[in-house]
Amino acid sequence: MSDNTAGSVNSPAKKKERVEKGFLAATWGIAALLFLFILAPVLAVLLQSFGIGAGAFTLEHYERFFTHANYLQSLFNSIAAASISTFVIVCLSIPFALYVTRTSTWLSSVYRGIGLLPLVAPPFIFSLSLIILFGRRGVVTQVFNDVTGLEISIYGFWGVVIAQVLGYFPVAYMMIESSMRNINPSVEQASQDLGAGQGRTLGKITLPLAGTAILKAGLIVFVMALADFSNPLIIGGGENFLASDAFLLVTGQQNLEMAAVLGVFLIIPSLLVFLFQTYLLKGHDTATSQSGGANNPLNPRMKRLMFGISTLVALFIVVMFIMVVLSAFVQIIGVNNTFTLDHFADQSGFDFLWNSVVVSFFAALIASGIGILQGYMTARKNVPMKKLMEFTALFGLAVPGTVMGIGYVLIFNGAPFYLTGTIFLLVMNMAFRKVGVGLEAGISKMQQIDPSLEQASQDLGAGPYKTFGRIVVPLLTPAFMAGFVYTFMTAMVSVSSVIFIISPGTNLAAPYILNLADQAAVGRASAMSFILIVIVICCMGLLKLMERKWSINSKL
Amino acid sequence: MSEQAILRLQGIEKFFGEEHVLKNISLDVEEGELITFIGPSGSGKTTLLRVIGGFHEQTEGAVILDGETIDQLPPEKRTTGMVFQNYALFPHMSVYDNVAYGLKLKKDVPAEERDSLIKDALKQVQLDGYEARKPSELSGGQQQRVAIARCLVLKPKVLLLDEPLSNLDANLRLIMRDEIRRLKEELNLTIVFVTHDQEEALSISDRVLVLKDGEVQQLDAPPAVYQHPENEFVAEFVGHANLIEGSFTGKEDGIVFQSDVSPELTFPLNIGGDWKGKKGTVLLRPEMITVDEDSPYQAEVKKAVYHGNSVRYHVDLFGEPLYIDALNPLSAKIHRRGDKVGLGFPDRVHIIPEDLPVKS
Repeated sequence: MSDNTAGSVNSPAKKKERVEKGFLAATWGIAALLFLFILAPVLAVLLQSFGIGAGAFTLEHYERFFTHANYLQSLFNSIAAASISTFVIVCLSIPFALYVTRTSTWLSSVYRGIGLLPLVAPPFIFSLSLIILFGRRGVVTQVFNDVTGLEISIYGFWGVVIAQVLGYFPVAYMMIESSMRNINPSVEQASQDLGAGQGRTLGKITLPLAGTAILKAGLIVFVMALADFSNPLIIGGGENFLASDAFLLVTGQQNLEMAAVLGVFLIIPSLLVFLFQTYLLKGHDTATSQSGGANNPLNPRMKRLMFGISTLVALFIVVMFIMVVLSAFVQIIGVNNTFTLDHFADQSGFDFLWNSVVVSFFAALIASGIGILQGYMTARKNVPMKKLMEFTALFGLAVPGTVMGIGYVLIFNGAPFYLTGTIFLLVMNMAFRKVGVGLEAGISKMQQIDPSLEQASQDLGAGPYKTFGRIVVPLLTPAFMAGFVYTFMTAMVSVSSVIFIISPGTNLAAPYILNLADQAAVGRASAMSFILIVIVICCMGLLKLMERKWSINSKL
Repeated sequence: MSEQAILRLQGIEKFFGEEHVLKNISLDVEEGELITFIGPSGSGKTTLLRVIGGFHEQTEGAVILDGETIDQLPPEKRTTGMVFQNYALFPHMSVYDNVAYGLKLKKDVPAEERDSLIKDALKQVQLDGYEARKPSELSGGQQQRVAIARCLVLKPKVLLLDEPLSNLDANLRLIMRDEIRRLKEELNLTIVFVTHDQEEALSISDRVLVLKDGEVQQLDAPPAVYQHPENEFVAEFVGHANLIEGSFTGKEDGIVFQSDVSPELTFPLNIGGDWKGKKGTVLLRPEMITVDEDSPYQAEVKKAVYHGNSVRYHVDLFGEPLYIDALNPLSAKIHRRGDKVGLGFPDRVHIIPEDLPVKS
C-alpha cells in the first residue's frame, strides 16, 4: 500500500537534523586547527618549491633539481634503498607472522614482543648499533680486520638499507600479523580437508586472504623508508638521500626553496599511496574474520622453516638492542670495555628527556581528545565537512615528517606566529601528525556503541552535552587510551619533523640522541637511547594497565 | 474522545524521505491503560513509539501528554520513559548508578531522597541487593528489570516499551510478561508496548492497535481483535485463520453459507437474516472447527503436526484447504496423512463483509 492517501502532505520536506551549537563550534574549531597544523604547512612547501612566498612563480628550482647530479642521486638512492628495504621486510614479515600466529608456545609470544620492540626506540637505533658493531672502531670491524687484514665499512647505501630493514620491520609485521590472525581457521582447514597440503593452502588460501594487508604494509613501509631521514644522516656516509639532504639544505644553507622541491618529491609518493589505500583498498580488508578458536597450526616441516627465519630476524634485533645497552655501560665499546656510568652524567640529556615526556603527553592528550570528539561527531552528528576533516586528519598521518617540518618552518618561523622553538609548537606538531589515529579509533568505537544508549540517556532527561560527557566519553575511553598510547609512543621517539622546529633551549630527547650519534658520541647516544626506551616501555606498561582496568569496567 | 486520555496522538503523519511510514494516526490512551502496537516489520509500530518518545519528529500531527503538547520537545524534556529493545543499560555504571542517572538530572528531587527512591524502584522490580552489580554481570531478565526500574524511578507519565521481551528466552518471556502486567496494576502505569508477537499482544494488553504499512487496521480490546477482526489482514495477523469467501442464502430455518471456491462446501449459520443475499468472508479459527467422526463433512488429512496439547491438521474438504486444531486428550486418536476425518462447523462465526451486496 504505497498510495499517497494524505493529499495534504504533498511534499515531504525532509527536516534536517539540528546540530547543537557547541558541537558546531567544536567542528569549526577543529577544522581551523586541522587546516593550520596539517594542510597549511604542506601547501606552504608546495608553493615554496615554485618560489611563491619568496618571490614570483618560477620553475628554476625544479630545473636545478633535474640538472644537478647530487639531487638526482638523492632521488635515486632514496627510491632504491626504500624498494630494497620494503622487499626484504615483506619477505621476512610473512614467515615471522606465520610463526607467531600459527604456533602457540611461550616462544612465539616472546618473538612477537621482539618483533614489535623497534617501535619503542628512536627510528635510528639500528644505525647506532650498526656503528657499534661495524663502524670504524666497531666490535666486529676490529676482529675482522685482525683476522683478515681487510677493512670493512658499514657507512653508505647498504648500511642505510640494513638499518631501514630492521627499523621498519615492525610496521609491516604488525599489519600482516593482525590480518593473518583474523583469518578464520576453518577456511584453511577446509582447504586441507579438500586435499591441499599445507604449502598449497598457504599459497592458495592464506596469503591471498592476507594479500590486501601485505600490499598495504608494503606500501606504507616503502613510503616510510623513502622519507627516512635519520638513518641516512647517521650511517649514510655522505651519500645523498632526499630527506636528509632536505634537512641539510634547511639547516646548513637556509635554502628553503630547494628543500621544498625535495619535499615535493617525498610527498608525491606518500600522497599516491595514501589515496590508493584510502579509496581503492578500503573495504578490501578482513575478507574473513576470526570466529573464535585458534589459528590453524603449521605442520612440523613448515613450522621449522618459519621458526628458522623468525629466529634469525629476532636474534638480529635482540643483538642490536643488546649492543646499545652494553655500549651505554662501558667506556668505549670494543676499545675500552670497563664498566662506567659516565655516559649517564648528561644533565642536558635528562632535561630533554623530560621535555619529550611533557611534549608527548600533551600531544597524546590533544590528539586522542580531538580524535574521539571528532569521531563522535562524525559518527552521530550532522556536522559539516565530516569527510573533508577525516581526510585531512588521515592525510596528516601520511605526510612525511621532513615535509611537515619544512612546512612548519615556512609558516611558524616568522610573522604572525613566531612559534618556532616553543614547546607549544612541538606539541601541536606531534598532536596533529597523529590525530588521524585517534579519529579512526573514535569512529570505529562509535560504530560498536548502540545509539540506543545515547537515546536512553536523553530519555532519562540528559541533554546532548550531558549525554556526551557521561555516556559517550566513558564508553570511548578504550579508544581514547589506544590513541593516547600510540601517539605518546610515536611522539617520544619521533625525530624527522620536530628536528626542524626545536631550539637549543627546547630540544627533545630523540633529536638530541640523533645529534650525538651523528657526532659519533656512541656511548652517550647509547645511554640516552637506553633511558628513552626504558621510559617508553614503562609508560606503555602503565597505560596498558590502566587501559585493561577501564576496558573491564565498561564491557557489556 | 475520552476525558481521561493522558496521551493523545492527533493525525500523526511521518515521512522518511519519500517513504510514507505513518498515515494519519490518531489515538487516545487512557491513564492506567496498557496499549499494544502490533504489526509486521515495516508497519511503523516502532516509529510511532519513537515519535511519542521524541526520537523521531512527526511530519504532521500532534502528540499531547497530560494536556501538554510535547511534540516539539527533545526526548530529555519529555516525561516519557522508554525501555529499549536491547535495554541500553550504561555498561560502565553499576545497577544503582544506572537507576540514579535520570534522578540526578532532575532538579526537583532533593539529593537526600534519591537513595530511597532508587531502592524502592529496585524493590519494585525485585532487584534489591543487586545495586553494586555491573550490567554485564546480570542475566537478560535482570537487565530488563534494571531498564524498567531506571524509567520507573522518574515516575514517567507514560512508559514506552519497544519489543522488550524479544531478547528473552520463551520461559522468561512469560515471566516478564506477568511482571509488566503486575507493575502496571500495582503502580497504575500507563504503558505503550510494541511487539510483533500477537500472542504477547493479546495476553498483556487492555487494547491493541494493529498497524500495517503505517495505517491503523483496528484498535480494540484483545477479544474483539481476535474474534471480530475488521479485515482479513487483522484476521490473519492476529492468530491463525481459515478465511473462506462465499455467499449467504436464506433457507426456511435460517442462513446457509456457501463457499465460492468449492460450492459443495455449505453449512448452516445461526445468524441474523440481514446477511441473506450478501457476500462475505467467513472467519474460522482453527480451534473453532471440531473433530466429529459422525459428521457429513469428511475431509482428507494432508499433514498432521503434533503440538503436545493439540494436533494441527491440514485438511482438504471439497477442494478447500483448511487447518484445524484438535485438542489432544489421551482418548483421541491422532490421525495421519491420508486419513479421513470428520469436521464439525460452528453455527456462529465472524463475517468480514464484502463492500458490495450481491444482487439477488
